[in-house]
Amino acid sequence: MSMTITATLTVSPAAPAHGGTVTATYAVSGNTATPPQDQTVSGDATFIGGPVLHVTTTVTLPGTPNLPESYSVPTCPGLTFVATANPKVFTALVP
Amino acid sequence: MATVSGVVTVGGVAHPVTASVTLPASGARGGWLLDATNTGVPAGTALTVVNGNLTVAAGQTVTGKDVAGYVVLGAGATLKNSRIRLSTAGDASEMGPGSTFDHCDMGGGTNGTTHINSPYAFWVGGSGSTVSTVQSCNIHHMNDGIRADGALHIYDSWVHDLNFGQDISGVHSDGVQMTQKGTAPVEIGWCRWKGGNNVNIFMQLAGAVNVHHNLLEAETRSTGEATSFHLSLGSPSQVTGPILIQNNRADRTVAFLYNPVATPYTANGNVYSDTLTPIPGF
Repeated sequence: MSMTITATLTVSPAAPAHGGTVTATYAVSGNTATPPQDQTVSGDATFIGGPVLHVTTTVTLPGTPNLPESYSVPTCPGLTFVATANPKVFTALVP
Repeated sequence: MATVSGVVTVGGVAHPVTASVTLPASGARGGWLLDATNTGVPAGTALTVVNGNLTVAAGQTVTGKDVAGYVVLGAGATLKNSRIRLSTAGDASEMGPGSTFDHCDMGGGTNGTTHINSPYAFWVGGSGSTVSTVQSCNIHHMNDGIRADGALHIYDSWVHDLNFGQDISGVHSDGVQMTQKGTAPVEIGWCRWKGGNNVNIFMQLAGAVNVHHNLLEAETRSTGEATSFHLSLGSPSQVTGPILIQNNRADRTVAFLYNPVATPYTANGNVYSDTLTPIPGF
């Protein structure tokens, strides 16, 4: 089952003052890893004139990792954002 | 309302996103509007003489003083509508975190208008983010106008008539100098700067600095000694930034920015003060 991936951008504070610092933060939801999963494989074996034998076995399907994420430097007229140690977070001084 | 735009790429798929922010109005302020009539002690203010240094205790507000010495502001203290005469060579005031000088005149010598060997009007230091504020002050007749080594906002103030070599032999004077590398933010806005003999705003070692809506003037003495640059940046290892230089006005007599080792900065909207046309590259 696949999950919808969505992204958001939030800015804080919403109404900064001159000289204040604006922080822009990205968030992503739905980009979750899938662990390895056991699945059952079923089949029938029939002997001629004999009964039908139902047989099963299990197989472990591989998981999938998170998809890689990258984040652009936000842009806004009048602000110049710079990166921080957190790749999802950028800051700008308000002139 | 302004829009902040960005893109998150997940597994090679781009997801454009936006957010809104309300930026403050530009306002009708600017360093080009400042002079003796709207900086320093308001006309008509009655002053009480303090013979000697003045300490304003943490959290206290003092007004209407004429100090013959230097001032020490405790944390969160304010000195307002006052005159400070740095009477003795070496005198300089100090600001604790979150303190304020408001509408003060800061000059050198016993009369406040003599060039004496005072290192600067005041010093603010420390690596904390609690911002001290200087607003509407008139600063003159000393070596550096301001030593900004900590979190500081300088608003609506006029720095001028600083010491040159003919006043104090061997002096190296700046309007404001920053000598502490770090993260303490400095904002310099809506001020008027003229000299000294080095640069107007010297970001030698600094963290985040925002220089905006200032008037930058160079001073030239009859001896030929002159301000060298309007702005100067230290090396990338000394200036952590970010450095914003926006919407300033400068005369064209000296170079706008001295940046010999390409320290990163952002500059836009800066114009020549005579024609208000863009300064190329800035």
